[in-house]
Amino acid sequence: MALFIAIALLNGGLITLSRILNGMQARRIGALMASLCNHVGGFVLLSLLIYLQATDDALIKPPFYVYWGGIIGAVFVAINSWVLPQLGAVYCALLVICGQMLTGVVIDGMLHGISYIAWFGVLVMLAGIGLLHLIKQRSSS
Amino acid sequence: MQSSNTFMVIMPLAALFSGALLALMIKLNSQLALYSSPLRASWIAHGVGILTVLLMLTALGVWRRFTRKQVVSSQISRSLQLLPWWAYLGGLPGALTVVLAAMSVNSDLALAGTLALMLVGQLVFSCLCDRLGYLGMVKRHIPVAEIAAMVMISLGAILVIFSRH
Repeated sequence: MALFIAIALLNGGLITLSRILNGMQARRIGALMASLCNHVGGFVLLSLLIYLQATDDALIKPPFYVYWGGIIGAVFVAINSWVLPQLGAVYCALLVICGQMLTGVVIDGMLHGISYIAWFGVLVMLAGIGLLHLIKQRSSS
Repeated sequence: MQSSNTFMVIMPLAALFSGALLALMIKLNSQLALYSSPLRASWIAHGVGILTVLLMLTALGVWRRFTRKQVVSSQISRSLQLLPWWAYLGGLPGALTVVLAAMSVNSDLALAGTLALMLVGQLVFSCLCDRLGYLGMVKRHIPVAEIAAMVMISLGAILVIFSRH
């Protein structure tokens, strides 16, 4: 169990590492080129892993709309790489997490309704963003 | 230098918006994974991503030609020199994420536990980079109030995660 906890924590660190490296690229060669490098690098590594794994996971015809994930991902990496170096890693990560969670609640809310716990979580997060905004406003003035 | 308006309003909104895109992306990619495997789904998403960016770059190139905004090539080569080679490898840890996530989701942590811990790992590593100025980040002191905001947002997010899974 401790091993899996370590793996999950490390995994979070890898996400940040990836975004910071992409941000470094965006400052020098532009956000779109950063997104391109990110996707080419990831594609090569995943091709290698799939080759090594050598299991048959052939695609069963999915509905077309699921391919939008890749398109949205390309835009996400570009925007994130653009803002991260300017905002700093922590501020940027917190805003992304809020956007992600709030959207998740809205999507799930439309499908299954929103539970009281989720509502409470959303309120705590919004209070956190408010506080964050106050801090940044004070430090920039 | 960015104007303070860009920093205070546009950038945070763009970051929030990118988070919304991330939620949609994860939702769609995990649906794609149901039709094959997480690894194969991520591979496809990366492939589609490459095509998308190439299309956007082409559109940008056409736009630049149209508006006659020329990028000075000496400026580009100077920028390339300033960028260390390993900065190009940002896609590798991002792709590995899928593999490690699949491992911990299949353990007792399940999806909710994995997401919560990944969130914590993300913030801890972000703090390290900001505080120590690693990987080109601007070195800065993190005030106590910001740590309080970080705890609030993490707790809120963890409540949301566990209410859903």
